[in-house]
Amino acid sequence: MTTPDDLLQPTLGRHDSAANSIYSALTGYAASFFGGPMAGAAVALANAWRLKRLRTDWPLGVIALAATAGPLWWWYRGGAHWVAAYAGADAREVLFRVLGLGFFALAYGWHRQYYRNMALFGLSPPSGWIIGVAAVAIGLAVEFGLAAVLS
Amino acid sequence: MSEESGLTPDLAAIEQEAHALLERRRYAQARNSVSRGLRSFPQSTELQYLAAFIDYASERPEEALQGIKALLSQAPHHYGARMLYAHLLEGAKQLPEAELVWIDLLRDNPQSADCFAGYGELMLKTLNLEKARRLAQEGLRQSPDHAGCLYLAAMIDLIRHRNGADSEHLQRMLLEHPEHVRSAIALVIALSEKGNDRGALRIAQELLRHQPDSKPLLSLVRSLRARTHWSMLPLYPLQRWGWTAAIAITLVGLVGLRVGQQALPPLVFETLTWVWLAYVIYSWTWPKLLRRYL
Repeated sequence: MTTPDDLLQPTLGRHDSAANSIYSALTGYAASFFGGPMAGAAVALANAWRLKRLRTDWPLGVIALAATAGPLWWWYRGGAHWVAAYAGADAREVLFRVLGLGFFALAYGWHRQYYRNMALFGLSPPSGWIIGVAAVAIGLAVEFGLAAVLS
Repeated sequence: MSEESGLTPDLAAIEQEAHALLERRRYAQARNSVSRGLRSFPQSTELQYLAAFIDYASERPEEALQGIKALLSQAPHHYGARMLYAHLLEGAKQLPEAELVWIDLLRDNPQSADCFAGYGELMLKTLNLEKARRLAQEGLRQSPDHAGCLYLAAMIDLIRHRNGADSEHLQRMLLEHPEHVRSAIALVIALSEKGNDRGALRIAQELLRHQPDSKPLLSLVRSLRARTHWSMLPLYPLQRWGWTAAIAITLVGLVGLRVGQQALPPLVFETLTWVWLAYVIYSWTWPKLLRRYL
């Protein structure tokens, strides 16, 4: 009886090895809340890069872009009036946060087993401050950029 | 048996005594027994291995590593020493080096379920879930009731599936190895996953009574005590449903307060806003403070 050869190939310590931990769910949550879907995507894609999964996880970026651009497009084509009529003129911020948290729910589900793996084995995530702040800056910059283009 | 008494020391008897003491976790006595044996049989690889193992078990990893390296320079194929070396390297966070030791062990012992379980656990600790699953599967093919591989497979089920607490591997482990500490630990985790933290705490406390020097068990009991503390009752949804509940509470708060601002009297709206904010701050800060306090 032999062991499949690929099981006996080293997985750790190579230049293309995945990292042993990802940024915490808290980092993704806070970034999505303050920076919207694009900020959430920045954290999720940073995690995908750490896990060497960018080839399978890139759609998260496209979904985040669509979740930002779609509502903005609608907002500047009658949506703002509709929202103002039903929820008040300053409801945009609430919508932005709802979209951000909705995207975080998607990204969390996408990487759920890694988060659970880390929780079960008590693995420490890397510090999320720098990536979190950068993600919020990216999210807000993309939102303002898209708003300028679509308005 | 001792030299002082003038009797010839018997290597086999010393080894047997040390093993028996180790099983009972009497590390100080086991160390005395092994040291005495090493004075008479300094070349005994088994005694050297036991000395390193006692250092490892009594949380002296540096001494254990030193001893095991010396032993492996004399007996590079010593199975137990290589396994212990892999665990020590993992403990020292030298994970790629530990992996190479596991791979060498598996090349030399392709039917050892112990090696599949050990390597699989390292893969699980480094987020290589799919490889861990395949290693557990391969180990269980070699030895269908192996405790380490069943534990590994049960942990993978808990990570991958929402109903992982009902894992077939966990049930088999509890059935085949009810006496195994790892069966009890897996049960504690599964009960906690199902929301039965009090049941999990009772088992974990019982385990800690038998192994009062175990740091991982102490940490597990502390965490479960925090989760079952009366002051955590308002946070039940967050404990039970995790991030899903956190998202729902935030969204309900944001949208509900938005609607309430227009529909409710100002005093009621302000009160609700403060209650919601207080709940959010409580949920972020209190669990951390409580764990530190306990």
